Amino acid sequence: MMPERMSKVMVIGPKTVMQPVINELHSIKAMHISEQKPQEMATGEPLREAEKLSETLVTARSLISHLGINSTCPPARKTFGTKKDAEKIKELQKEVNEKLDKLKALDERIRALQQLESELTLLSRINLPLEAYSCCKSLTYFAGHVKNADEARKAVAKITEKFELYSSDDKKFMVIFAEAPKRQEIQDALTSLGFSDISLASATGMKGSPEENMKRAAQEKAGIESQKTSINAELKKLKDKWQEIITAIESSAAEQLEKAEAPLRFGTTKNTFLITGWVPSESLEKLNQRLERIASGKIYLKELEIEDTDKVPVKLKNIKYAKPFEFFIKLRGLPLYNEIDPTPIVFISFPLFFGFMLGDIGYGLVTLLLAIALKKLLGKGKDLLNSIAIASATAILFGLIFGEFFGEEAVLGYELPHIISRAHHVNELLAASIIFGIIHINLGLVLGFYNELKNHGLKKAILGKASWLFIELGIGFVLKLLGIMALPQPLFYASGASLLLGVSMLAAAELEEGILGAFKAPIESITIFSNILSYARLMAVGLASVQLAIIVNEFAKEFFRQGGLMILAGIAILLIGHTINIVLGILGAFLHSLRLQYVEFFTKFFKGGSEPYKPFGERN
Amino acid sequence: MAEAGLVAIGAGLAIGLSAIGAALAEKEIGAAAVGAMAEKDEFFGKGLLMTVIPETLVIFGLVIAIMILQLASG
Repeated sequence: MMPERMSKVMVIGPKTVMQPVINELHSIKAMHISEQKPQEMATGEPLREAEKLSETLVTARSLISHLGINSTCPPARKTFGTKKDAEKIKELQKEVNEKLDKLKALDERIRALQQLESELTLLSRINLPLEAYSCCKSLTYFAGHVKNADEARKAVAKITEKFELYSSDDKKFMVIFAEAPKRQEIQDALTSLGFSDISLASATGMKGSPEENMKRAAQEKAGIESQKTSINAELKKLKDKWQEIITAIESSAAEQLEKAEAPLRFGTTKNTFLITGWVPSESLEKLNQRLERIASGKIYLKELEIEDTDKVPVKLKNIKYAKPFEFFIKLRGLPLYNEIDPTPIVFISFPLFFGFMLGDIGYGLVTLLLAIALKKLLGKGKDLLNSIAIASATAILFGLIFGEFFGEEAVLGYELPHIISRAHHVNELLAASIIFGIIHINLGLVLGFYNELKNHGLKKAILGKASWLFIELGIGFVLKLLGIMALPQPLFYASGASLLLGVSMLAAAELEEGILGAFKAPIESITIFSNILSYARLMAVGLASVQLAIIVNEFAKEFFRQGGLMILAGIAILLIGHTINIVLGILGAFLHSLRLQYVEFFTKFFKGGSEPYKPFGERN
Repeated sequence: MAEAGLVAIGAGLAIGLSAIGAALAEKEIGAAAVGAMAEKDEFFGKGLLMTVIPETLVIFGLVIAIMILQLASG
């Protein structure tokens, strides 16, 4: 139940053996190197080749993103000589960039042509030769949309006689040519008529009729499209030819760069280097032997005492089936080194709650198949999907207990055997939910007791955690006081005393944070009841899901009864209704189950926030 | 019969109003949580935790609704 035990180690040696030590550590993949604090000791310089390597790495990565290479594509060969490959992919990058630039220019030209086409389409409604728009300085023109061209004609006529107006057949689009000095006046008059002008920037200066020019533009566009296709095909060819080599270069350069930059995390003097870090205690012996073998007698390895201020990197250690559930712990933040890792309990309680809420043979089967299919398809998110698959299996199990199949309690006329029916036994389900809650929360308190005992001693553990148990026993007192439950007199007093004791113990524990902490205790003590009541959601989410399923089924049955084409409508309703309900069911059951872990359970014992254990040499 | 209607309205109000309360609270927390997550992905777990805390309100509403229905029928 605890994270993997770690040893703090220190490796000291002369700089002459630094390179082989780095290589060895990299291949052992066991040591998590701590950053050397610069104020304590000078940090090392990166090895000479680091600069070249990072250049190669950047080139390779830019090629990967530009060519759209799938990063999961397996590299062809393991290692590459750096110099030659660096030049090779440099040239390749130049070629690719040229092609990409060309594509960009072509795209720009296409955009310009599109603009031109939209202008020409408008002008073709009037059909003047395009020369007219750039004829002489003494003339100005207006082109745009207007409500009614005849109104505009009248308005302009009042200002000047020297004008010419052409409008489209529907009078909504027009072009006015008028004497240049009157431009401002005409503009104002038109604006008050709701005239909105269009830019003819692309079309001015062209010759011929709009139609001719449109045809020409369309031809040019087709030509550009075919050029683009051929460039894209060339890029695709380059990608197919090079992708394995590029990914290999990328991964080998990244690995060598990691080695070359390792000294940045070391402490150094003129002739020696010092590495501090963390090794799983069980690998310590192996590390010692391997370092001894490559530099016999020259290297000094010492295990150091772990101090309270040390931030120990955490590696979780769990059985194979519980592993996927580590995902939920990591999501919340890794436990501290001296804290219990709750994965084994989440492994049981998450599927239990999820199954209890979804609780349907049909829905469980669908989510199970969905999780398996997604795992095959995506190839990532494995832990999450695995845990959902396990949770779906328990949903099927609960489906058997509730005797439910897509919300039906009978399939093809056969009544499904059930132990408890969700649609009819709400009170029993509520009681079961609350019992789950009491068990879960008290388990959390037990873990909290252990954590406190280990980190802060018995007194704090009793005051801070065991006190909650007494508060819980006080529930009888509260319920009788509210008149909800009958209780014999002696029990009533015992319960009241227990509540008082619990609250005062909690107050004593919080007194350390100051006098205000003590006042916090009575208010805080209520949270344990709201926490337990919160488990009523197990019943609530399940009830909502089963009721929705029943409604969908009843609705569809109505259509089936009518027969004929209505049967198709009924099938559609079943499909849509259950799809919605499954989506809601997965989301609801998933989030609520997770929430019960995080909010109700974890808060009883969990601090978290450790740095993950990342051994040198392991690529993520 | 009229009384049964009032009981049903009471139960409905218990859930509906508590749901509005939870929604108002979650709106604010959710927005802040998404903001924090945009800065740092690791906040997802904590953000989710904070966001769903007010949800308990609805559960209380539901429990009260069930109690109302049972007091009325029994």
